[in-house]
Amino acid sequence: MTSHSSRVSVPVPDRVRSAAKYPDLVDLPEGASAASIYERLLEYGYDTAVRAKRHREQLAAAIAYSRDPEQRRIGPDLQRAALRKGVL
Amino acid sequence: MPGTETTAALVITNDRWNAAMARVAVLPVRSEILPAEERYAVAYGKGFVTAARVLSVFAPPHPLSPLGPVIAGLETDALAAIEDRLCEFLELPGLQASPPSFRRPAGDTSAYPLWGEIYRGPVLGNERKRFVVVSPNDWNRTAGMATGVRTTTQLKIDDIWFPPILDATTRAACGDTTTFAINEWRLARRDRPAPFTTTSRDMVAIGRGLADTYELGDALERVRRRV
Repeated sequence: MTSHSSRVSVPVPDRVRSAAKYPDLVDLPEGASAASIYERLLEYGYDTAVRAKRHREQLAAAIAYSRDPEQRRIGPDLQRAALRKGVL
Repeated sequence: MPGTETTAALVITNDRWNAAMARVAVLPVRSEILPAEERYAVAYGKGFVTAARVLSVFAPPHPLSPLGPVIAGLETDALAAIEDRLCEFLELPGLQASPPSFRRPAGDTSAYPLWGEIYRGPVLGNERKRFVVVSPNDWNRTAGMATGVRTTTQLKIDDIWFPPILDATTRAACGDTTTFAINEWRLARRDRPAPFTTTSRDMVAIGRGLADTYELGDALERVRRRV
C-alpha cells in the first residue's frame, strides 16, 4: 500500500540537529527555516542512500546486459523483425 | 524510419537505460492509425504518437539506427497523455495495484498471441527466442501485431529491469520490449516453449520493470488518483 504524508515526527540525532544552523550546507540562503533545511536534508539523504545506490545497481545490470554476446548478436535481427511490414 | 506512415519516434526508455544500451525503446509517430488504436494514441502534429507499437531500435550514432536527429521534446501535457496511454496498453494499473488485479484472459492460443503467455518469436541470431506477451488480447486479436518482452538466460544479475521469471535462470529484459507482426509469432502448440505461460507474480515483476524502464511512476500515480 502506498501512503503519503507531508508531516511526520521523527527523532533528530544531535549531529543532524546542528545542521539547522548551516543552511549553506544544503544550498539554502541564510535565514532559511529549520524545517526547510531538514526537508532538504531528507531529500539529499534519500538521493544518496536509496536512489543513487539503486541507479548504480541498475546501470551495472544494464551494462552487463549490453555486454552479453547473445544480446549483441541478436540486436540487428531484433530490430529488423520489428521494423518489417505489419508493424510500421 | 521505414514505412511511409511513420514520420518520427518518441524515445521512452529512461536516461540510465539509454546511457548503457545500444538500443532504446521508441513509440512511432504515424500519420495514420488503426481505429482500435485510438484509445492508445495521442495526436501529435499532423499524426499520432501511438503507445500500441513499442519498438526496440538502435540509437544514434549506431550505424543501424533508423532514428534521425532530435526534432523536439514533447510538451509536458502531451508526454503525460502518452504515458497514460502506455500504462493502459501495458495493463500496468492492474498489475501495479495492491493487491494486483487483472484477468488472465482465456482464448484460443493458436489464433493470436495471448497476454501473459510465452511464445517463440522471429529468428534472431539463428534461433527463435522466447517472448512474454504484454499487449492486451483485444489488440492482439484485431491489430495483426503483438508486443512482447524478450527473455534471456544469459544475464546473471537480478534487477527491477531484468526480473527473474519462470525459474531461477530466466530473466525478462524489460527494456527490450518490442512489437512484431502476428506472422512472426510461433503460435502452433508444437512450437510453444516449455513452460509456455507465466505466473501472476512473473507478470507483476515484468510490469514493475516496464514501469521503471519507461519512467511511468508519475503516470501510474495519476491513474491511481483518477480511480
